Amino acid sequence: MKSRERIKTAMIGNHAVAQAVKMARVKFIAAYPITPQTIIVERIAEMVERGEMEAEFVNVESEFAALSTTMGAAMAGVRAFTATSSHGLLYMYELTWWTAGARVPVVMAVVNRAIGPPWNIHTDHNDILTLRDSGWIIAMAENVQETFDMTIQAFKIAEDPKVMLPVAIGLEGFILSHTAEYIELPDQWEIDQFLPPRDPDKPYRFRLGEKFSIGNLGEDANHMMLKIAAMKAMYNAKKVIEESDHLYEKIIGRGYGGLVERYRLDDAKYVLLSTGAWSGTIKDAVDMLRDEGYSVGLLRLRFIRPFPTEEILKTLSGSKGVIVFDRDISLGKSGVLATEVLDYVDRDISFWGVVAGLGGVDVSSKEFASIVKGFVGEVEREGFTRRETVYYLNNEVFEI
Amino acid sequence: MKIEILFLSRGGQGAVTASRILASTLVEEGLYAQAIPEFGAERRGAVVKTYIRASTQPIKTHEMIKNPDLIVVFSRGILDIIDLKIFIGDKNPVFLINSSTPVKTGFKTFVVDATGIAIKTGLVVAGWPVINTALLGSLSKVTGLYRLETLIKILGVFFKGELLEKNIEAVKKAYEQTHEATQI
Amino acid sequence: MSRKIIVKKIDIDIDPTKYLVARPKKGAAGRTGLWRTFRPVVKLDKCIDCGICWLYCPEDVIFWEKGLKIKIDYEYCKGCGICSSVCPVKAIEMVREEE
Repeated sequence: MKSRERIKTAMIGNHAVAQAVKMARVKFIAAYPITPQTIIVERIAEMVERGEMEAEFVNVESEFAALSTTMGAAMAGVRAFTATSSHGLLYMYELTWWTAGARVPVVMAVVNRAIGPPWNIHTDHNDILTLRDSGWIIAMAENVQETFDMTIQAFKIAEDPKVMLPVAIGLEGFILSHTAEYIELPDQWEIDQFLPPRDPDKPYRFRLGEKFSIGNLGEDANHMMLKIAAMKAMYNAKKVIEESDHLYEKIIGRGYGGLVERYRLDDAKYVLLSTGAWSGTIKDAVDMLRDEGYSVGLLRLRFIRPFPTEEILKTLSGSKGVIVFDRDISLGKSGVLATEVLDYVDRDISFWGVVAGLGGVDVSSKEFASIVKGFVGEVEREGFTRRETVYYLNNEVFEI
Repeated sequence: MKIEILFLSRGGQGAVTASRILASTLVEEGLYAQAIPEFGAERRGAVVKTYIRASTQPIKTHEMIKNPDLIVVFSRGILDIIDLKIFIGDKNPVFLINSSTPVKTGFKTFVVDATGIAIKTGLVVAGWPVINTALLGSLSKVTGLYRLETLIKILGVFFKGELLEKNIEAVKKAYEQTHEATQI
Repeated sequence: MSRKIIVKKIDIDIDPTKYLVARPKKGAAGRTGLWRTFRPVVKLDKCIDCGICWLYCPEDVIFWEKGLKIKIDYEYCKGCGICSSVCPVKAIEMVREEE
């Protein structure tokens, strides 16, 4: 066993993504710059230019071209990557469905940024959630270290023969993309052991002299069969995500728990649920509340697709109340996570779906703690509460 | 131990770069560190807030810092347009201000003439004295969180050649010249 | 009479390429020659052996070898008439099938 004398440094999220792309030995990158993702593109272009990365970097004229080109390269059998954000993701949107539908295992970093109007460069989760029904695997990182680890794992998951679906990794604009944080970098040999080269023939491979087309007009029933097959691949991905996390832990020494991370949940009467970078802030709130005697814990969704149904069911059964924090909103319904989690909250369990932090509005750990206290207070006072959507802004929780 | 620092600067003064150098230096000293820049519609001259955390424990939160232990003011003019009361909570902050003369803040205050040091060292770019690294030299003295030689080692990662030499000189001068000038 | 529906569980590890990949095959759409209303008839004495009709044929049913002029595969020719339009010497005439 070689030594584990790791590089320990402070790194911003965008550099962590670029570093992971390099260490995953990605062979093809096409991307178009957009704040706050630009640094990923710049750093990869620099590394390719200096010869530190053996890869092809293609300058493209739009995000639509970025994903088309990346998809094409991956269809020819190489490991390919792109990155975008917010309006850039919307501009490439049609291609996101093609990539997933054609089962092309590319990896894309989505640096979360609010969608205008009004123009806003700060974080919320609505951009990556537009991929929700498209067939992309959707992961959300909590910190810079996880951003790196997730990017490496994403290739392993996408390229698994039982999966063969693209993976989008969400890292939040500025609070991860531009934030320098403590990070430990594995050695290249460890990454190589975890992530061998891609099998270029899976699921199919374009090459000179061979004539075939992908996704040609066909029978209607074939269309439906392909959707069902992709659904099965999503189910398979659950196991692959868990196995990849275990293998990563075995080789590199850091694991997260697969589809979800459980934080101080054993014996917790009240379950908090969230995803993304503010989950770290919520963990601090959980610590504060625990110190004050509140029986709370956090279930952090690392993956939104495939949806961690089993883990959520297991955690919520027997709980007294569930509070979901959404940094996103499905206009006309509720927060997106609230919508999805509500399916698994029994009618006699108290529930609040809290929409907060849209457009980058900062929510502190103290504020999270006070929202939870408000929820627990209502449950204890009334015996039961059920509010699908409440909003938190300017120190107030309100309904409309 | 957990320390929260706020940089108040103008766009173009290099506070974001300084915060990253600082985070790397703190990690080199065996601490956990985090540097969050608060970007708006950024442009040269606008007030930029940058948040730095240092801790002996892993840092989980990603919230902005509302009540810092220490406030570093990159040019004293910022104090005329920012109401300091918004940063005062349970804790009284310590100030480090780039100024050639004492400044009354009502709290424990250190000053250093980082602008003067930058001019003397020849660290002037496009008419702007580059003061960010000098302030990190001062911060080493004020906080005692990291050694000057560790900072100089990390500067070598960010700068090369003559620019590195000038930055090292500025950092050393700033360390020597930083002094307390509290006026209540 | 409607069939009684009972939900079954199906093991469905399908190879997606089965529904994604389309390989070209001669006559994949059946004997398309039957679609024709007009048939391209080549006057070989007028033909100058330029190959333009071969280049333009959307169905790949014109065979051309320099020096031997052209031959049309009437099994699959749909009779679209593009060859007749592009011929620079009007050597291809479109003739009604019944005639």
